[in-house]
Amino acid sequence: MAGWITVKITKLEIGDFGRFHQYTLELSEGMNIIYGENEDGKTTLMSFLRLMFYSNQKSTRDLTNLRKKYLPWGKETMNGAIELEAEGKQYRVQKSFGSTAAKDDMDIYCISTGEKILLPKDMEAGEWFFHLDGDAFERSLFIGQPGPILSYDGKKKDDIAGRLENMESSGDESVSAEDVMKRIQDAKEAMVSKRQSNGILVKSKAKEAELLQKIAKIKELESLQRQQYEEIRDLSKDRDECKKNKLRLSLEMEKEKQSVDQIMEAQNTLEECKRRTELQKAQVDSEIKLQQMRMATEEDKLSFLLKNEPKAIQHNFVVRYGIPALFTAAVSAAGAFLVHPVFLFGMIVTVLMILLFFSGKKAEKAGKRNWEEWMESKEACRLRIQEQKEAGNGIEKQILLLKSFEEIQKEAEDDLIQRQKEYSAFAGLRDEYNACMEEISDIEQQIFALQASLKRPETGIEELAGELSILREKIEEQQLYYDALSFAGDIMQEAADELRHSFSPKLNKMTADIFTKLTNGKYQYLLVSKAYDISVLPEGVQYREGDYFSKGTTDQMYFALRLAMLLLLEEKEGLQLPVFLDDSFASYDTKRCRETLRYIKEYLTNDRKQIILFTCHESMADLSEEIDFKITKKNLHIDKQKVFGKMC
Amino acid sequence: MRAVKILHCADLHLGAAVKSLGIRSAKRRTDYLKTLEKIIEVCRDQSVQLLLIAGDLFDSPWVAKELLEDVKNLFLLIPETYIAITPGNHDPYTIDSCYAKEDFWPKNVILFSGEMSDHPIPSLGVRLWGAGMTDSYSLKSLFHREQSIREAKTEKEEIQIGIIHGDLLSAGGRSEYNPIYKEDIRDCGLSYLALGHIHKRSEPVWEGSCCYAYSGSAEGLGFDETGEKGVYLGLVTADSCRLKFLPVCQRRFLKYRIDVSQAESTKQAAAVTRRSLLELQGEEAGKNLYEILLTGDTIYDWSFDPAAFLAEFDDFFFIRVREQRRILYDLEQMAKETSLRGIFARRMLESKSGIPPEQFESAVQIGLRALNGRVDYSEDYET
Repeated sequence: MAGWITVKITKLEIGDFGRFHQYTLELSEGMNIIYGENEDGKTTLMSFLRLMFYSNQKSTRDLTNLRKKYLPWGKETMNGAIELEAEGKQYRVQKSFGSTAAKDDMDIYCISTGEKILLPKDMEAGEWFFHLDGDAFERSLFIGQPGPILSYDGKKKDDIAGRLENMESSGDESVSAEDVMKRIQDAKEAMVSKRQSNGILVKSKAKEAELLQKIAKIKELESLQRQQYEEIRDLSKDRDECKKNKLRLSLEMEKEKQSVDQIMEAQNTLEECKRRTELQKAQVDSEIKLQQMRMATEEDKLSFLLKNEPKAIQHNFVVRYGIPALFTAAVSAAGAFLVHPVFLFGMIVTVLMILLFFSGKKAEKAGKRNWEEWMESKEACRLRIQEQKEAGNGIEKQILLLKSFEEIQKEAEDDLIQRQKEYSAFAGLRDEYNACMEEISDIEQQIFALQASLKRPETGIEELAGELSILREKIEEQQLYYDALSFAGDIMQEAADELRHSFSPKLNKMTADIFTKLTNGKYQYLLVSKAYDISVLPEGVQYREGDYFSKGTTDQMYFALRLAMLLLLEEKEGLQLPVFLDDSFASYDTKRCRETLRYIKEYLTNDRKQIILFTCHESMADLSEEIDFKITKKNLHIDKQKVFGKMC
Repeated sequence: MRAVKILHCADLHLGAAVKSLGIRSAKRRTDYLKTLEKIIEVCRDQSVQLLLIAGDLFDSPWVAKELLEDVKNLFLLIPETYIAITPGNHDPYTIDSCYAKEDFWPKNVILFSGEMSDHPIPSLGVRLWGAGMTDSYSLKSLFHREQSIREAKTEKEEIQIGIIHGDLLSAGGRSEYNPIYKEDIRDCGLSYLALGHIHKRSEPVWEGSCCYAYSGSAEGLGFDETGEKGVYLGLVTADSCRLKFLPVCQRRFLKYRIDVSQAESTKQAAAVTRRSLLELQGEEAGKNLYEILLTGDTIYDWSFDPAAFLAEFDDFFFIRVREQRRILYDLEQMAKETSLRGIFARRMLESKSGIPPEQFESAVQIGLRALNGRVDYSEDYET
């Protein structure tokens, strides 16, 4: 195949190994059948090959210490060489074995170029040529003992299995099915943690519950609030009623006050009246008394006066004295004039007369005056008496007035009584009023308390409802995502299981393919598990495991598997490796042998693949001829004789 | 024909606690008041005569003192404008709400409470009809039939304008937030009905002779309110209504899917994203809030590093990103392989019929990712 590295073993040169001494085995491409009976050294050769290519024996499968086992009897060292062709060049590997891998001495030459090949430290020849470690080499190239392949306990991943598996899982050797599953699992747990206590979805749902609670609380609060508003309204009504009452009571209080005032007024009025009446009475009394007294006085006076009427000196003094005086005067004058001035003494008489006249006049006057006075007095008295009489009338009036005053007083008294009666109607008003005031203050306190206790929700329901609906959308989304995660996880798990269960479809396919061909189409469906267990579908529905079938069939199965593993690996690595079959067909009957050979002829050697079959079936070679299969025959038995011949 | 210039806005939700934006929440909270400032500015610059705030001005009836003062001071800046407010389900007119404060609100503020009542504004030739919610819910409709409006209509030339916060429904619909039935709007006698409650604005449409619209929230409140947010500005007459939408929002919430198939690393994906965003939103792209979904096909030779991605957007206000690339695959071809992947593919194909297609696709993607590397739940990562 173009581009592939082809490895063919051309020669085995054993210096000393096991029972071999100076033994050369040449191999060609295509099928090499090496016949040898048991104990002829087939296993030895295989071991030689192994040790030549891999000094270190790390296989746990084979507990045998090959070195010890194959140390040639009587010899101290083992040594040998292998010539092989790789990448079109010839190589020679020479090794002399020490007691431990470290003591091995190996040289590799490239015959074609004459170079000595120096391997990196700790690299085995087999690793360099085949790109496989010792175990892989054994597992693949050495399709040695038949039977199931034991899988490792997982401490160290089987090289072939691991590489095959990695190759198949994702195309990226660094990612395994486990990693993929873990990623999905991690994502799931991020949504809902293992114990459902945490996670994005869990938190969202918790938030939802919280919101619902909040909303319920607010609804409660709002209805409570509404209640409180109702109460406040009712209380306000009551208070207003009370206030009305208070108003009414205040008016009553006003009235009461008025009543009190009126009483005061009435009392005052009464006092006034009383006083007035008394005054009046006193006045009347005193006036009466006075009048009476005056009357009496005047009457006394009058009677006195009447008794002492002055005499009126009613002399006509003019005639009596005046005229005479005049006459006298005249006479005197005349006489004085005519006769003798003695007549002037008549003047004296005249003067006397005049004096008398005047005094008489005066006395008359006085008397008149007296009489006039007396008259006056009398008149005055009479007048006064009249007056008094009139005054009596006046007093009558006063008395009437007094009476009226007394009536008025009485009225005032009645009025007062009335007012007092009216006032009594207001008894208890004050208490009522106070009670009302108290009630109002009480109600107002209640209102105040209610208002103070009005709980105000921090957020409105609408806002929370909005939040809730957004959250619910989110939850739906997250739930969908979580479900998708679960679903993807399940499918991925199934896929991983399938992958694991069937190990790899390719391997499965190829194994099935090979097996089908080996059995000439008898069995077509085959499953390989991770533990390399094979189950096959005979007729019917159920897959059967190895022990269901005959040993021959089972051997064929595992032969198919090993071969498939090798072929797949080769495909991947671009290698073409020789295949060593150590008595793989020991249990086969002739028919099976023939079938197997046919398979090998038709499918394996087409690509010039080198196959080295160790067998103890003599007939293998003949069978090959029968099916026209060109092979290279070697007979260990004969050679052994030769060998032993030498040795012996 | 007399006309009145109005500005209709709603659902500002001042004082709302913004929590879902991580470290940007605090800054975002300040945007809402800024938007109100902008609205007031517009009122002043455009000589708006009537500002209609159709509910949910505040996020709750109990408002922090400073915020209340701020709002009041803003209202005081436009004393020539009448400001009509109908309390909504978030800020109902309860006994202890900010609206019930005595001697607090400026003279130009008109507050409505309870069922539809009218408030004439003779100087504008307008009769305002408003209803205010008194509780955080109202199963009953606060919107009245036309009789009361018709009855009250005094002059023919009077412009009847309504403002209400509630759910617009067809007959038979139910709502907890003041249902308003279309049948009741038709021929109700209003020229324009300013609606609030729905955060997505609706185009002004006519139901009978009444024009109505939801102005939508003036500033987005979440990623369910993407795009441009703003108010309606225009003229209303007794029988016509011409309104235009005016964007006022400080920032926009935007959601985009960005194909990063061509990117070969997280950094490149970030570059692609940046280019796209700048293309879509222009120079000011950085001030918005984005929810980005990275999509595209990949052979999954690089995994997404959210921290590195977000580090490229330090100058952006807020980005939430999620990666959802699809690994390219051909299951049939893969099934031929004899590897774990091949068996997986084969088995997936075998089970395809048994599960929903979404789950199938998801499971395949998970499997492929697991075969190549880590499997991570595609989550949101934020600045």
